[in-house]
Amino acid sequence: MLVYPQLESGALSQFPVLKTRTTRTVVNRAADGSTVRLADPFAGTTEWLLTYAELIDSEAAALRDFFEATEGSLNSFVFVDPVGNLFAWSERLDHETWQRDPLMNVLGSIADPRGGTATWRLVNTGAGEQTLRQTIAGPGDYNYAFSVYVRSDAHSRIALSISDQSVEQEVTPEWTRVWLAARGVPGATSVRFAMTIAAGAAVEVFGPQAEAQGGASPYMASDRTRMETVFAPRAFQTALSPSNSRRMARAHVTARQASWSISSSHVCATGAPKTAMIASPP
Amino acid sequence: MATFPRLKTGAVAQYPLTRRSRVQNQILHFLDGTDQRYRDSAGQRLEWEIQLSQLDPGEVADIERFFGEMQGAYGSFSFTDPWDGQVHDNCSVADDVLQTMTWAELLGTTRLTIVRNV
Repeated sequence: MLVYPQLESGALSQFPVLKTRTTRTVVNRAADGSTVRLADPFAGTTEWLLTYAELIDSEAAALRDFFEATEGSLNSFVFVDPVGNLFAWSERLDHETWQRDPLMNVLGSIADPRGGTATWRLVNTGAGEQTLRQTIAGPGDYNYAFSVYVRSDAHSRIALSISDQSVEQEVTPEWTRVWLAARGVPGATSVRFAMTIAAGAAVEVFGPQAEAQGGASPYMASDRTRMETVFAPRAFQTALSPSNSRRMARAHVTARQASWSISSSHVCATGAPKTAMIASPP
Repeated sequence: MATFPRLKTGAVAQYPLTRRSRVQNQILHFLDGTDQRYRDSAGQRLEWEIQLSQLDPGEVADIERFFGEMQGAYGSFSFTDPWDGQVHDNCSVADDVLQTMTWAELLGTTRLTIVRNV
C-alpha cells in the first residue's frame, strides 16, 4: 500500500490546511416548513487541501514520485489526518479500542485540567508493570508524537512508548504534559502507543494524543478513529519558483467516508488496516 | 439532547454574528381590494450564522467532532441563542459541509449556520 510522504521535518503538511467534511442528508420539506431528515452515513467525504512552500529538492521529489506512483487519482494510499488526534476515543479510556493488561484498572469521570471530567485514573493492581495501549493503522515509517497530561497524588513514573521505543517520565501532583516523539517500525502497517505504570502505582491521565509529526500540538479530543486509510489525490501540482530554489506544491486529497467508518477496534484486532474492503474513489 | 459546543471562553459565538428570523405567511387578495392573511408554517424559523476565528486545534476538533456526531444536517441539538441566552431545542446545522481552515498553530477558522427547525 502506498503511503503519503512526510516532509523531512517529520510533518505531513504545512500551514495553511483546509479540511472539508461533507455529509449527505436527504431532507423532505413539508409545506408548513417542517422537515423530515434521513442521514446517509456512507456518502460522506473528507477533503484536505495541502499547500507546500519552501520545499527542498528531496521533498519536492518525494511528492512528485508519490503522485506518479498513485498515477493521479487511480490508486489509493494510506494517509493520516495532519490536523487531528490519531487516537480513537481519547476521552474514553475504557473503550474497547484501548487495550489494557489484566491488572490495569481505569476509573473515569475525574476532574480534568480543562474544567471537565475527562480524566482517567490508571491503577496498577498487579505486582509487575501494566500497560494501557492503542494500536493505530498508521505507517511505521512515519514520525509520531505521543503526548498525554499526567498527575499523581504521590510522585510516580509513567513510561510512554511508540512501537519499540519508549521513554520514562516523572509524574508529580501537578498536571504535566509528557510526550515522546519517535518513529515506528519501518515497513510496519500499524503503530502501537502505550502507557505503562509500575506495580501499585496510580496515575491520572488526560488527553492522550497521537499525531504524525515531530512534536505535540494542543490537545484535540477525538471519538472514532481518525486514521484515514484510503485516499486518492484529486489534483497534485508542483512548481518551481523564479528563484529556482524554492519548490512549492499543492495537493488536493479526498477520503471516502467509508474509510473512516472502520472501527479502530477492528483495526486493532487484525493488526492491519482493512484496505481491501474499500474501493478507490472514482 | 446534544448541545452545541462552547469555545474555551464559554462563548457560543464570536463577532460578527448574524441572526435571521423567517416567517411564512400567505396572503389572498380579493377583487374588492381586501385581503386575507394566514400563517402557513408551523412556526418561526430562526437562523444563526456563526463565524469563528483564532481557534486552537482543540476547539476546531470539538466543532468537527460535533459535526460528525450530528452527521451534518441530520441531527438535532439544543442551541443557546447568543443574543438573549434562550435555549432552543430542535436545532440543526444548515449544511452538510463543514470547512475548517488552519492558518497556523492557534489560528483555526470555521463557519456554521444553525437553524431552529419548525
